[in-house]
Amino acid sequence: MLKPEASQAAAEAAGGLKGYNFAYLDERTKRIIRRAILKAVAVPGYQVPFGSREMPMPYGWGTGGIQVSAAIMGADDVFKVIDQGSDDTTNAVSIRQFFSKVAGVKTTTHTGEASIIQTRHRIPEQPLREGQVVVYQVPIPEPLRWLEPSEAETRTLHALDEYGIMHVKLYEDIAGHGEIATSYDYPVLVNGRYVMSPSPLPKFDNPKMDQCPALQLFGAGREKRIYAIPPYTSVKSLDFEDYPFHVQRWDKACEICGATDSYLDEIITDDSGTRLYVCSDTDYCAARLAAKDSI
Amino acid sequence: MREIRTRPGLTEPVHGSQRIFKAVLEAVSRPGKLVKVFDLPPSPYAEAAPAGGKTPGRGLTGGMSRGLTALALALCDQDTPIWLDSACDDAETRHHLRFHCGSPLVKEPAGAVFAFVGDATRLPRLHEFSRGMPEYPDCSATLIIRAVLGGPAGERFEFNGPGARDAVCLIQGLPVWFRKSWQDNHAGYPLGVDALFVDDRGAVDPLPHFKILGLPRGVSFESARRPRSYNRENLQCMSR
Repeated sequence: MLKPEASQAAAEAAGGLKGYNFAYLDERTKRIIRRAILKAVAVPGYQVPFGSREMPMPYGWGTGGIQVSAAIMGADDVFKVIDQGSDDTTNAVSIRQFFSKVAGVKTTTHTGEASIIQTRHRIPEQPLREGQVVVYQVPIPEPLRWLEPSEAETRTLHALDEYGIMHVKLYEDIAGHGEIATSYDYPVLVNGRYVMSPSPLPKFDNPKMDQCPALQLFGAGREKRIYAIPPYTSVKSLDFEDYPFHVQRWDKACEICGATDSYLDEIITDDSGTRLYVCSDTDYCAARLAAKDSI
Repeated sequence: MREIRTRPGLTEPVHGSQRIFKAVLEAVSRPGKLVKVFDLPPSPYAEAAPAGGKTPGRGLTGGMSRGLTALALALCDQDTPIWLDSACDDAETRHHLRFHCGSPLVKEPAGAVFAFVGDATRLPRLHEFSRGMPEYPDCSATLIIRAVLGGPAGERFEFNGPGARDAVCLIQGLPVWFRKSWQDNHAGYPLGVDALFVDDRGAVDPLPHFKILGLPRGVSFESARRPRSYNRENLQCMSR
């Protein structure tokens, strides 16, 4: 065992914040989260309850994601945070600064350089690779929650593999709107067993989760749940044979970089309704622009 | 009574635990892949054990090896009852785990969250361990089993399941019934035990290390489970 001064010195050498353990959480909490993550990976899509801690920010700001990131993070990790695809929004900047302060880790905005990518509501456009970990911030982990308010009931439905109500919901979409109108938080079936909420991702990103080479971890702080998708695991968006799943398309290109294959944000630029369409993934957009400039 | 001297735990409790956990995470998410770990804690046994003395084979070939100890130190605490097999269950190990982890030690495999198996040939039947409940499949045991991994000898296992891609590994030292018993365990998915294999042969290398192999319950040794067609099943459900 290290003496307190020695461990303090070690923490500072690793770049941590004085008076705090490496990556903010105490070791026991990290072990609780780590064990939950291991079981979550063993049963893909199943929501493992865990003893979520209060974090120095309000619920809804990514406390679940932050706890998962803190539990898996090592001193040599490179950390990226995106919020709706963007590296420079308040949430992304604060969380990045938080970890650079409490863990002293290197941070980046480049998807390719990052070993841990914490995300709110998007998956980067650049394909992920083996060895990367994506940490999703999840507000409501239970996909059946809006259909069945009781936790005891939804837990039983998962146990019995009984997802009829979800199909009825999608069917009602078709009956009411002529198509499955769910455009974000679109339910998926993981490894042929558990129906899972992919967090409020646009359904555009759902296909990226299927057979993804990176490990995907989901943390819900307020709801105290962790779930996971191991690399190379089947993730199927629910649909019907006559109403197959499809993703959003735009007849526009990004007005900054010209990308036609990325998820576009609509920005209203004046009072007369002028609209601008730009990439939601700022790193992807900037990289494309840089590549263009260098030619 | 023999005097037991308290032995040190991980050299770097914070960063060492993180690296060991990260290796376990990698092993569990990529079953069939051997993951190397360089954070080897001292063994629970006094170093002065004479070669060929009273405690033959301890440390390297029997008992609570350094690799098993590493996983215990990184993952276990007061919340995780531990079961030790007869190879690991000795005064030194009990003292070591109580001192460093504070874990309760249980007599029956059924009560364990983690089970440490130093002698795989005498592994209890898998159904003796907790396999979780339908509503809480996470409340199942994790077996940490010492074995010789990746050859040169051993039985060939083909890993199929989430995270496993063309993964084949040789495992030596498992009982003959293991393959069948594991298939039964897998058939109960999402219930079932998870296993981690630990190979300590690298502990005497110039760069001491050990290797971990993950075997979560979703992995089958037979060709891949075909994902069910959701539409088809739904139609059946509707027509009922």
